[in-house]
Amino acid sequence: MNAESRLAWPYLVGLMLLVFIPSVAAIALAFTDFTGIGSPTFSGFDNFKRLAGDGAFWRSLGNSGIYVAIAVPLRLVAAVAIALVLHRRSVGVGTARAVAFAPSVVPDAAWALLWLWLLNPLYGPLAIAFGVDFLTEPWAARLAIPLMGAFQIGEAFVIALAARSTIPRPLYEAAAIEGASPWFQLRRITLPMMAPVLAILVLRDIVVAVQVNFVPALIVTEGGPRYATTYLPLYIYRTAFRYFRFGYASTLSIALFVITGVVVVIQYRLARRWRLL
Amino acid sequence: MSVALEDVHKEYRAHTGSVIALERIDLAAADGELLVVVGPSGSGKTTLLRCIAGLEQPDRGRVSIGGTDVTDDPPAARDVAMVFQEHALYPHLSVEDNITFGLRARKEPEPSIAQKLVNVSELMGIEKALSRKPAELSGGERQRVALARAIVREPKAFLMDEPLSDLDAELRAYMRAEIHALQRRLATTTVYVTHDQIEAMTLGDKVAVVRDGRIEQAAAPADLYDRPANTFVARFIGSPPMNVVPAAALGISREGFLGIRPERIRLGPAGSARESGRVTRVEMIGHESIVHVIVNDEVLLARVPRENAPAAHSDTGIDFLDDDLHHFEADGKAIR
Repeated sequence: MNAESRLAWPYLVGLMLLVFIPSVAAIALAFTDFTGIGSPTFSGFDNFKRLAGDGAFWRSLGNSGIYVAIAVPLRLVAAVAIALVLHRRSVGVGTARAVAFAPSVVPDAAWALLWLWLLNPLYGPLAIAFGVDFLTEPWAARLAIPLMGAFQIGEAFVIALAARSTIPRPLYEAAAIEGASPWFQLRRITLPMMAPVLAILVLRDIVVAVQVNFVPALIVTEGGPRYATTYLPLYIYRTAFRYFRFGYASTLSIALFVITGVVVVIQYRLARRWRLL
Repeated sequence: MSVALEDVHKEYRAHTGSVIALERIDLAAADGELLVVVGPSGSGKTTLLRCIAGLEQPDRGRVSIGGTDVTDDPPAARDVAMVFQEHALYPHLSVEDNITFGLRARKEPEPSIAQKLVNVSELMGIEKALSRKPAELSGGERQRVALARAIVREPKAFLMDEPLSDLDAELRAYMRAEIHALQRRLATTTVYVTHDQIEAMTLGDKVAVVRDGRIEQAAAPADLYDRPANTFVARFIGSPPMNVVPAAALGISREGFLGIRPERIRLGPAGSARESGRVTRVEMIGHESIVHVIVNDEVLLARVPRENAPAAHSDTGIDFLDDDLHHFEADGKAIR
């Protein structure tokens, strides 16, 4: 065994201890009843049967779907738009880039508390400006949580910036001489040439988006109003740690994992078919 | 249509200082003329072309196309077509879409686009490549597509920025001839930038030699060769270059320099000749040889028939006619 592959050992051990073994344990747990007290009792496919008829699960899944449908396009458009505006080097661009990235380094809990204030029905600036109570109107809460995420796009912004900067300048010069308007250049050069990277960004963002709504939903809306923001991760968390049904929570987790996997595979196939990847 | 630059000045400023890219450029290509701008790298020739295209704004001076002042017009309004060094083909678009990009950008009607596409692809012999992407083309095909994209718009002028520099020697010679024939056929005013003096001499109706942002001489190729305006042009045009040595080295007592083309030197037995020297090196280049001779501490190159070439490390006599001498002042300017 050579020196380089030996360097991989700590990572592999960590992966084993922290990811692989717990995952196997979770799969096993999904076939049991386990409350955290006493030992798990085998229950076969009972948990999966219950899942099929669990209205709260399907509602959470629907909520997650709505979140992804709003958040992913919003985040992609925001990241790409900012990258295109800030890709040229000029005065103040460095600062502007840092500002664009900044929300991504704010801890999720602090970010959530900030938005709890922004959205507060009594004195929150956003609530006053729009005249909407984001925390009691289900439709408004369904918009507010994705909106919070639309600012934490630092990574996608940097990736889009890198993708834009690989497009050679002579292509734009040729287009300018040929009489192409900036809009025409955006549609026919910039976006098509960035498309493979954008496809990966979307692929990745869907996986991320399914999970990142946990903290805001927990802190800002507490899953409400009327379960409008009870997304799958929050439902799993409550099932496990409020109702202590660890077995069923494991079943839900597996469902989340499988659904995410299926979505990614479908997307990957589409991207291949459209020759983006 | 004619293309003209009058008193064009361009300077690049950076915090490390400023660089003069173009200094008082006066240059014109008449309607239908092929003007070649040639110079070493960094001489400002590409900047000159970009000023005509509108990609750079001169600090001072006037750019006009077809007699109209376009100095303040954006590139799109100038109606010129540019062929870039690396072709600048859109890699994600097919050859067809590359060629018709500009027509679509200007919202030409589709039937007219289709007709022009057929015409230009026939002209350039690329009918079979239309559905391919640039990455699937050979270097020569890419070059043709880049030219087709320029031609299809029927612009007022072609601007070509070292379009052949990516090609291997054989293909370059071939494409050079093709560009020349094409330009003659279309009779579109063309400004062609290159660092290759052979390209300049063979292509140009008129050749402008630039150095450090200034035009050293602009003239017909034969004039450049026969009557270089200064020692820079004398040495730049011709291969091997003109010998330029202090006048005293050739036995003429005055200040300044003398120039003589290598093919104008005759080598013979030492003793009876005007000057004598020692052969240091003989390069056989086929039916001719380039002979390096040291005369009065100066190296002269002579281009002689192979069978007349002396042996290396031998002494040789050097003869030349006074009429073949080019006279230059001490500052390099030609004395006429």
